[in-house]
Amino acid sequence: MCCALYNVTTNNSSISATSGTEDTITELTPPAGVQIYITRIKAGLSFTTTTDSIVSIRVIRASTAGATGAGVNIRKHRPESPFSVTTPLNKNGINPFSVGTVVDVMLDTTFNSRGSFEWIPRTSKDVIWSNPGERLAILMKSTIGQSAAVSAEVDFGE
Amino acid sequence: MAQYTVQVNATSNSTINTEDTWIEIFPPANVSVILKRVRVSFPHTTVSDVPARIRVTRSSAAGATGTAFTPVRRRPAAPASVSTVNIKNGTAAFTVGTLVEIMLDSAVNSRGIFEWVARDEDDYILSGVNQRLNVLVRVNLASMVLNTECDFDE
Repeated sequence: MCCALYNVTTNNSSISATSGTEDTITELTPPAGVQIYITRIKAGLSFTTTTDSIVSIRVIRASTAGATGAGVNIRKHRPESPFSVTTPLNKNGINPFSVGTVVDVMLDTTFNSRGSFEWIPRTSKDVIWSNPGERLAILMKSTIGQSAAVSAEVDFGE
Repeated sequence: MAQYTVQVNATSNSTINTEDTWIEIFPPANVSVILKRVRVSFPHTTVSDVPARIRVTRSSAAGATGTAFTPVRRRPAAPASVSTVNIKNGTAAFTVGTLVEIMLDSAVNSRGIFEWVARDEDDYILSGVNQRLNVLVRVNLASMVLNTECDFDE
């Protein structure tokens, strides 16, 4: 591993209002021949009311895109780094952003909506790699039964 | 060495407080499995407020009966795992094999997440020769849906 680290955040994505319906929150698509690797995932609900619900989060390798996300800026951890070549998409508000074709599930867990979730790799061997040119996606669903705003962040290298 | 991930989404025993095997990893005789991370969460359809006990054990015999799982390679170019991995299969019971040693014994409320991460390489949990490494879970609620995951090297 070497290269540059980047960051994508969202606070404009809402979990599906339908309990148990999973959406893509963030989808990262590297160009052909390029592999990216996730180094951090953070997620929580920035909903305006407190709820006591189950929020599920998965990280997948996907061979096709979900539909339909909105473009978002990628930030460089180090300003001198080159621009990322990855295409990032975030869920756009309450609009559905379906789940692409799942290749591998790399993480599958839940947290209570009163809390938040953060995953970091223990060492550099623990990062979550994409296949070359293949998407990595963060998926979320909940049992809230109404739209709830998500604040999430993904850090990745390429 | 390469690193792998195992996941299971299944249902706890229909008898309350009955421990099941959720993940059983059995390496070949000349290979050690190195456990680096264990995570348990509770994606049940309703929120519950119950304790769950999580144990990591070495065992000398298999539980009965799991279903085969192909470990996911963290790095796609890595070789396939050589270990035999079985996971709990839905609501079917997966008993606890013959216990050799308990390496971790902890508990969490079902509103939370349990996660153990090895602090450094001295903190890894290694399998014994001809022994399985197991993740066992017991819940104070019958038939509760859990996710159990682990990362290992071999």
